[in-house]
Amino acid sequence: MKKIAIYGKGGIGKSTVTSSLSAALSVLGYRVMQIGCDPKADSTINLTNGQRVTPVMNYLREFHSCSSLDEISLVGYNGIVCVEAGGPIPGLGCAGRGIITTFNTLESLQAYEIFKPDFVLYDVLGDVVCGGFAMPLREGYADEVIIVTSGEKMSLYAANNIKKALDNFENRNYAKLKGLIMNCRNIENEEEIVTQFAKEIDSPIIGNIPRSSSIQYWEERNMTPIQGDVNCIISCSFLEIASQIAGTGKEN
Amino acid sequence: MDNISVFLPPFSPDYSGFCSALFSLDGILVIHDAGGCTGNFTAYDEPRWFGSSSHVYSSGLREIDAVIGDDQFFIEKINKIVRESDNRFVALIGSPVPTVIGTDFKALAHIIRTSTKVPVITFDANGIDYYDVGASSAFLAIAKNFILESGEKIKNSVNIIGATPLDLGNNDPERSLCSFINDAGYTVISCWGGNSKIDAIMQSGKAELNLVVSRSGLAAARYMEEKYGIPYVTGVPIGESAAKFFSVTISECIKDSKSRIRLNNLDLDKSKNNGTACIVADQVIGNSLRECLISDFGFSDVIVCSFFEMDSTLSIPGDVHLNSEDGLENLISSGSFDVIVGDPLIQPLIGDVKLIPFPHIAISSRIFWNDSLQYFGIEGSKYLKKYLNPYHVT
Repeated sequence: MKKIAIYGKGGIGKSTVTSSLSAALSVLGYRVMQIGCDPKADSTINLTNGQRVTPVMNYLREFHSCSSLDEISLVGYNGIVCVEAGGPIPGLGCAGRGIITTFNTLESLQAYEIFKPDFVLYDVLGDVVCGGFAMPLREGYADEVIIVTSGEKMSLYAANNIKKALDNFENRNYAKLKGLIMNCRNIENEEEIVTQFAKEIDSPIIGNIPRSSSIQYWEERNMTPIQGDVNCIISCSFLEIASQIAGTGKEN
Repeated sequence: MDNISVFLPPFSPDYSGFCSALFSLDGILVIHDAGGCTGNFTAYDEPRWFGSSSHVYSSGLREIDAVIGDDQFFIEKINKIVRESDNRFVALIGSPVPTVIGTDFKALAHIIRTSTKVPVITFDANGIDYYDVGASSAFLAIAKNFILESGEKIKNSVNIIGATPLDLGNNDPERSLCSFINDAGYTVISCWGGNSKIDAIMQSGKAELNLVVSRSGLAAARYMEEKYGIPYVTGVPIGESAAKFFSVTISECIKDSKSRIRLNNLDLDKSKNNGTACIVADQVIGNSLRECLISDFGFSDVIVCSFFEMDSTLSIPGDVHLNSEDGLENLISSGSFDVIVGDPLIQPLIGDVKLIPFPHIAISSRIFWNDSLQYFGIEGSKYLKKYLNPYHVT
């Protein structure tokens, strides 16, 4: 089992990328589990064709404890197990602590032992802002981190912050940076900018997602491009990255 | 509102159970707190603290440390203590604030272990769970980290697992229990939760049997059964029958290497219908009290209930886990019990039913911990007999 945490600036397309990678890995024949770690709880919505899984925090708010994985998970496209952490009442509580509680709940219910996924993908909100949002990086959780970025300044700034956090955690035996996925916004010299940034932080770029309207097209239909058209260019990009993650493709 | 306690005080929390289990082991115990949790353990949950040389520390966590997530000060303090002492291990223990901010004790242990080369164990105490959860976790950590691999067994030897004062009381239960075991022809290699030092604990793999004297010791005993092939018996030798059959049960268990959940091998169904009772205690101790009431006094119907975790394999139909003092009050008022055995503080919850006081430090803290209650072997029967009606006495 390999566990990967996907980080990146808010709005950069982490959920789109994560869901598409989950779908692509499943097409390659792997058993996948995706855990949305964002209070918005919309990470997996395309994998379930719009059907909403009950977020763990919502369930605990109502019932105080959870004794069955069936209550907090849905099996989506191609057998992908979908879980959403959810969050506190807006403006109250602590979202970071919510992620810790979600992970503890999944652990106590032996989610990994029961579902036996080949890959677990954690889709994490934005930056590593506090202990809760660093939870997926801890020993025993993600083995590797992928940062999604575009060539835009603020996106690279966030990516740099995440890299700094990983460096700070070096002596803690936390997850290691696997590489960047460039989610293009079609800004000028984008590829050069991101390539230069990757060089500066000593990280490979493991994938390049070209700007394409087909992502929005399929998302409007509650699907990832892989579910909608597995042969389209975008789907091929995700399949290529998934092959690399699975160790069956070429390094970029 | 069910969980509000009007009569009972807050029970001993998880960090106290964890520290109590490790108290005598020559380790550095550090509770990551502002001081209140550590003070709670040392002043109210650990009778051995007064006059002891055990190293129990508070990290002195302050608001700003929690808000900015600065755990470097914590690491440096511990490194300093380790450098200045010859303690054998470090235990990092949580409390409510680290729980809320998500302190990663495993990562801190990794850093301290790397810099000091001293073994570090951790426990994510939250201050919400009770002492038994912490003690159970500590005993399991001991079993996984400190026992030396050894194929040799010492003939007729036992370990006592789970003997913290929180369950067994403050009247030197280890000495009485060891004396009882020695008289039965067995030697005690180590007493977990008692006063054994780490060197004795490390030899535990050589025992032929584990005697589990509280529910907290069960997980460690099961681990040792699987890892070292040591069978276990759960129970405390309370009463005349237990004293009589103790040696036989231990001997049979060692002989066939099959674990048992009772010390008394009498047929409990052959009771004399002399009464009904409800025991409120740790589950293992409660079960032993039940065996004593049935075997020595002919009780016919005895249930065990506990505010602390109960293991389904140790329960019989009718046994109940209590979620609140309301739960106990309802149980007693809806039942028909001749006597209740439990901590004296439950008196307001049991109406007119007779109470046989059996102090439990995890419930009543220091209020009764100087009471000298002796209950191993025949002393247990003598004690209960004082409170029972003449017709109970067989």
